Amino acid sequence: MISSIFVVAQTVQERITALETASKLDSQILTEQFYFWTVVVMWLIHVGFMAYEAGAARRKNVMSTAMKNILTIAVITPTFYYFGWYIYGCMEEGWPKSGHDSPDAFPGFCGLTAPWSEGLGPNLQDHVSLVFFLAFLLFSWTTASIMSGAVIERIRLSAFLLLAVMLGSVVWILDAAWGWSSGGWLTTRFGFHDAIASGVVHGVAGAFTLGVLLNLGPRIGKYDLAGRARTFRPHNMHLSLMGLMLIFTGFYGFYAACLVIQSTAFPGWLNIYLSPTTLGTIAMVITFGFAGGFTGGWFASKGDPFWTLSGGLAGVIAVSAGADVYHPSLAYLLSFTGGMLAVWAGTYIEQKLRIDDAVGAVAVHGVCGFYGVFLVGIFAGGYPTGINSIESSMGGQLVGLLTFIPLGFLPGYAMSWVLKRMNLLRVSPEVELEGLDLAEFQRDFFPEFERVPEVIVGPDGEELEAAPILLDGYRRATHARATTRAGA
Amino acid sequence: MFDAFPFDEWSEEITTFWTFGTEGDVGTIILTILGVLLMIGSLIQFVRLETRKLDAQTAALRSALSAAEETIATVTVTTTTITTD
Repeated sequence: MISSIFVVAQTVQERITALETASKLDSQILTEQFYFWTVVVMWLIHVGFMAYEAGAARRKNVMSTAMKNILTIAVITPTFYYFGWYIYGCMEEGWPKSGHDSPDAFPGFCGLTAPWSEGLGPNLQDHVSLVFFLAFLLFSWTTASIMSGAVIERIRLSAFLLLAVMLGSVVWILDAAWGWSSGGWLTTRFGFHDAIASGVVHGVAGAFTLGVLLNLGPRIGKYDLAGRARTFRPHNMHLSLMGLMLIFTGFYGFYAACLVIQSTAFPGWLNIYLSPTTLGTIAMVITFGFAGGFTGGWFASKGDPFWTLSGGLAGVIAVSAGADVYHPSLAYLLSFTGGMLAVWAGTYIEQKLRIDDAVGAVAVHGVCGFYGVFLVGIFAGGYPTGINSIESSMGGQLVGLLTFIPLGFLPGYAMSWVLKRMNLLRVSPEVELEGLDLAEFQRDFFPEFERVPEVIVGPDGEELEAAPILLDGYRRATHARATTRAGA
Repeated sequence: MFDAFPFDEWSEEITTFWTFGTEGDVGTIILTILGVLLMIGSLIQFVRLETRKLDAQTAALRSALSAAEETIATVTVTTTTITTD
């Protein structure tokens, strides 16, 4: 009798163990599926960036603009795999290394980020590492795409790709290791809080872009002799607006991918610092962020379509840092200010600083990204962040800002300066005037459509014939500085 | 249907099979090195290929521009001569 009870108990125990194993595997596979689908949705961000920028370009530069976005994937994917991911996994403690200030949340994570490790190859025992890598890879593409739009119509494709590698596979992922990971020193020591990457992705990419733009210079004809800004007509504004809407759709995937879920390891959803939140919370914040941002952009620009949509993006970026804790009403209010700020900052950068940012990336991503980090210090101060439960504070957020602004700006400025010295940064003035498509691809990509004279909108809003303005700008450009070695 | 799937017949080796070896093996390291070489080579070649294209186009445009300017200069000189005569 007793022996039969023992046998039954043993059978039950084996059954329970088998169910636990199966449950754990199911949970891991659900996590794997979750990240897989966020990656799929995030592809729309890049479809959107390509459409957005190609639409904003003049007809003569459409394909060269689009190819930047496509080849971004070709260069960042391998570089992020071979060294970018390792930076994230192994540099959380900062430099010089002083050890974690907290228990290592994921013991052995550093070793799993080497390209020859079991974490980055086919592994039937690991359903999470590869999809987690892929989600971060898509973030990396996004950082490069942020820079991509600002530099169109005069940067060399290859120069952009080298800069994209620096930004996407080194700079942003280093700041993510420091301030966007469970063991990052900014979080474990200062309680730095940037849940959905306002500063970590957008702010840093915007600062990097600003550094590049200072060396790249404006497009020929952008400014008149008095330094007043002219406007180039986008060849297809509908395409640009559709691109922005695709970016917005992809942003839901971006937001979701910023959370962590693994039900057998911890209950519910966690943010990147392993503090609890819910998917619904961040989904509400992004949605109200768009609503407030569109409204702010509309009013600040007095109804300009481009800035209204850009305002939506800026609004979301402004509330992303605190998206795991903000109330929807707070997100609506703050994103409204973010949308307005983007318009004002964009106008200031273009007209006062005379920096030719073709799509307003520095204002939308850079200014509003860091603005979002700042807002957390005010509206989420006291929130216990991360595994050390250090309270978010204005001081901690300022430490983050003081770290990230130079971390983004200086590499962008230095690398573009070197490329400029080597005459590899910008196309020649002749090619810029003719259009990059003919030089890069030897063809016009609208063969059935007759070319019409190019038009430029003057500082006072009047439409002007572009040819004399561009030729004047060309003469000034060729007399002011050396051009390429070609034909020399 | 799935209950009848022959899990037990799977080889243990299948769970650790990588092409050319498992993690950290010589084969994997060699693949990694080859991948890194392709990555670096492609970055260099992106620059070289584009430089060739842009230089050629710039040279062509400059010669066309100087030819046009010479034509304009010739026409201007001729017109001036005729007018003077």
